[in-house]
Amino acid sequence: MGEQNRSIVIYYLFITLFALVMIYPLLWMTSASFKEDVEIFQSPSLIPQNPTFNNYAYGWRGVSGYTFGRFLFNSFLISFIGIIANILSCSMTAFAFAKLDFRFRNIFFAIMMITLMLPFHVRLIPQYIIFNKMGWVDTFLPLTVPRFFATDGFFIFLLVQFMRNIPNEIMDAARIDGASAWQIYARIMMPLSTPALVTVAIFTFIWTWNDFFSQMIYISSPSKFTVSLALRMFVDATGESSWGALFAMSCVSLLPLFIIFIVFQRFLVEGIMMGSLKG
Amino acid sequence: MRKYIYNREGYAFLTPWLLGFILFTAIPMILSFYFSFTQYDVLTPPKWVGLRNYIDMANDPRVHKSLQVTFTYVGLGVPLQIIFALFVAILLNRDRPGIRTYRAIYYLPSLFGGSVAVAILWRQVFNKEGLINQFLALLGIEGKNWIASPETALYTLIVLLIWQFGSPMVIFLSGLKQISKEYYEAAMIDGAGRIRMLFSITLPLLTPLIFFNLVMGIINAFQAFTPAYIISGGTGAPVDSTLFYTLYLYIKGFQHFSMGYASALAWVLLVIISIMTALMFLLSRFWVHYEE
Amino acid sequence: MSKKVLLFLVVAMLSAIMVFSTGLAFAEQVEIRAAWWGDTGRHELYNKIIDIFESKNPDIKVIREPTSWLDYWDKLTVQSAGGRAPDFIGMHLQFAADYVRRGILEPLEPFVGEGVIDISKHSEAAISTGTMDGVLYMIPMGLTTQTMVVNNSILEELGVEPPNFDWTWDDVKTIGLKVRGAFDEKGDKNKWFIADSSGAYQIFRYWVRQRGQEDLYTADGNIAYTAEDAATWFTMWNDLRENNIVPDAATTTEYARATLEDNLFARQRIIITGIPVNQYKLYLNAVPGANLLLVRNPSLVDGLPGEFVEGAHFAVSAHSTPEKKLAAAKLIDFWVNDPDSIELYRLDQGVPSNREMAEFLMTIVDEADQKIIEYVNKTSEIARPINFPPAGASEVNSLFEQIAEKVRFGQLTPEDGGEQLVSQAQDILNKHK
Repeated sequence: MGEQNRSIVIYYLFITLFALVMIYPLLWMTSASFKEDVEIFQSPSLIPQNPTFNNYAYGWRGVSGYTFGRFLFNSFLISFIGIIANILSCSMTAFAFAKLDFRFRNIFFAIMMITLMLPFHVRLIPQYIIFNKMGWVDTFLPLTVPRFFATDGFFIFLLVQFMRNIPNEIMDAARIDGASAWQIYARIMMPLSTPALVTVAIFTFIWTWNDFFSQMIYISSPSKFTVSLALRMFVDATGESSWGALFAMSCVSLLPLFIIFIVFQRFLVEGIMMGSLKG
Repeated sequence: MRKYIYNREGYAFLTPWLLGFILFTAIPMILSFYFSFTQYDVLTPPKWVGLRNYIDMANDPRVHKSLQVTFTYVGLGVPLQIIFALFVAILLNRDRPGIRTYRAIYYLPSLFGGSVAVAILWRQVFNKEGLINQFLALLGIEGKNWIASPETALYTLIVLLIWQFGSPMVIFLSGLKQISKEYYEAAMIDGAGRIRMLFSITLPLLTPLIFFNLVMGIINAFQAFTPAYIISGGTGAPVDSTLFYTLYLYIKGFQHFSMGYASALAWVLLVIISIMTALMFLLSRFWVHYEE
Repeated sequence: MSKKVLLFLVVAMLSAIMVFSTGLAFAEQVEIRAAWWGDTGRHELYNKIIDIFESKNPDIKVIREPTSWLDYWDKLTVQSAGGRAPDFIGMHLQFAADYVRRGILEPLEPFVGEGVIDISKHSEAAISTGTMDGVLYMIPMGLTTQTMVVNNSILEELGVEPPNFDWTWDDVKTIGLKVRGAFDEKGDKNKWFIADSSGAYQIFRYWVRQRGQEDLYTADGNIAYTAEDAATWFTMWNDLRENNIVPDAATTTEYARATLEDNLFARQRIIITGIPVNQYKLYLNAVPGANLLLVRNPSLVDGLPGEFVEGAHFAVSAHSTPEKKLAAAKLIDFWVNDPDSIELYRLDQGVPSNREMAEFLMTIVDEADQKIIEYVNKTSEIARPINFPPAGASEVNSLFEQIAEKVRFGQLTPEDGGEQLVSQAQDILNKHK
């Protein structure tokens, strides 16, 4: 018994040490958020000399009369819509690529992979022109609607890999029972892919939340600013930057991400249905 | 393993992607291909110049430098990042108290993404008075300015990539969850030790996801932009040692108003990446194992 | 969950987005979009100014689109490509050439002629900064010029005399050596006398003009300096670096893109740095309690004065309707001429080019701001005219920075650097003609 306890202690020691390396920057940022602007760069210590909540108050005031709460809401909106869109559209597409056989399937898969390989800076201007003609600029539409059409190849590929790891016997059995493809998709594939879908949800949320460039291009009115746009406003080379406010609001913006991650992890739960199916 | 052939069903499920591809992706791609044969300063209509952009590229020393920088970044950064992610995922795949919080902490660096804060933080760690040098001073070594010296700047970016191993780690974690417990139970009955189980069960069953992370890691690393942009301030400093290929593309397209040249750069990159990806898919049959 | 419910949810969500994003349109009002760069403080200020304008002009509604400097130009490029540049545009000489020569900005003479924009009280020098090939494209929102700020408190500590207002490049080395000696005695290895400006194209501009060239570019859009101008420049800075009067190459690179509070001067590791004079107050805030002096850029013994006046400007988009252009022009006029605006605006981007307004400000601003106004006035007296940069100027700017950096790290000799600079810069200009 002593042996086991010792190995557990060593285990925790090891992962805690490592965790400190991971968390140091967050500690630095949090401590900076409580320092006055001038002190942030002058003193390297982690303890503020005159701790202050000013940065949080100032940062929360936001831009052009919209508080940071508004920006948080906007980011939440886009990210949640993104989650639903991706889960629906990418799983359907992945199901088609992974489990259904149809003409030109491999060609389409190759095309999908290739769409991942073109740097977005060169797609930017043509896309902007298209969205402009549709009157979608300065709305959330360019940031949300495309997702309903499976434009995130990364998640399609991910789900394909997961689905290919699900034995075909289950599908074959369902076919014999007369199930349609939609029923197989909805009743079998989706539940079995839960860990993968949870991963899609987490990543979609976090990457949308942090995505900066597309949001910057398509959003102009401060009322629609998202968190990542607002954060950029605090630091400006031509004027007085509000570093304290930047760090304070960065900490605030990290909180939802952190929470989402911890909450969704619950669903990355033990190898769900796999065991029961074998029997 | 047989798959059923149902054309209609296949296309029904594929419809969203097909529509999306045509509406949102195909046209920009075709346009950018067209631009690559033009001189296009973005603010006025493009002028056809044929292959000139491609020829200029071959003679542009900054293109060569950026390829060198990018290949180094990909070749070193991606494998190291994935190895780390795999190692930590296996380590944290226990049902111990508080383990979920640890996983979240290990994911933390990836949450920072490409924010302005990361640039500051990285400087605080890797500059002359930074954390690393303070640590080295304890050992009696005088460190240099890692982040601003041409010989080492790129490596600080590689460390940044590895530090943000959260995403592959999470993917490995969900893959580990997918492995049926019965395999391990059976192996334990046969008397297999932990290391044996790792190499005979875990790793082989994880190969689809190792493959995924490898392919996506390479595709993304070739197109890496934000780390170099925020840390070098968009210049590839010092002396182009952090000039990622897409950073140079951005500079040409948005700062020098040469969008035609930038488009040509983009398509060459696409060809490079697709060749590498195709190779990896071809080789995958030798080591990737699917349960179907 | 059944298909129908799912579908309903999706449609509901899309509708919600649509309602959220489209605003209500007002009839009978001209709506213009105004864009500028800055930090949150400036956004508050500009919003107030525009509010006053709107209250005086109820038939005009201004949609505000603030961005940070880093992103402003990317966004403007993309918007212009889509034909959607804002009606009222913040503009800067650094990039103006590219936009003017591609027809993005509207000539403003007609508005001046009809009295919409009143420039009668603006100095010639000021108006010329916005004029290209004889056509007026933009109005300065504030005039400024380059200066060097000196942290005299540190010099007092070291017991070294501060430089004269009219100091020379030779003085840089002389005083620099004294300072270096004093720092070394105290064991301050990480501090230096002056910032390494070898890669600052705008200060190189002074050097070039002091040596008798008309400017960086000739009036017909070619490179106006010689390889020797550049080689002597790089050699001088190499010498200063070898004597440890300026920081080492890596430190300079590290802080090249630092913001105000973060740079070497604010961290009190260098004593002198070049700044646009309108930022004087910001620097006072960044180094609280220090005694900061303003001196000219070092001059060349037996050379000409290199000074010139520059600033930030406002322009009107050419791809807009006549009503919107008129509204934007009215906003410009209000901004630079109306006392209500100037009272708030003060010296945000520099001294108002309207002489009466500048005098008006002298009566209400504090000492530090008065110093700025005086400095700009003094400079205007000795300033010589500039040539509007040609298309491709921003590319030449980054070329210069790269070559200077290679020289800094010893990868290029000053002579080779000079040769490469001149030939490659001219190539770039030719490409854009």
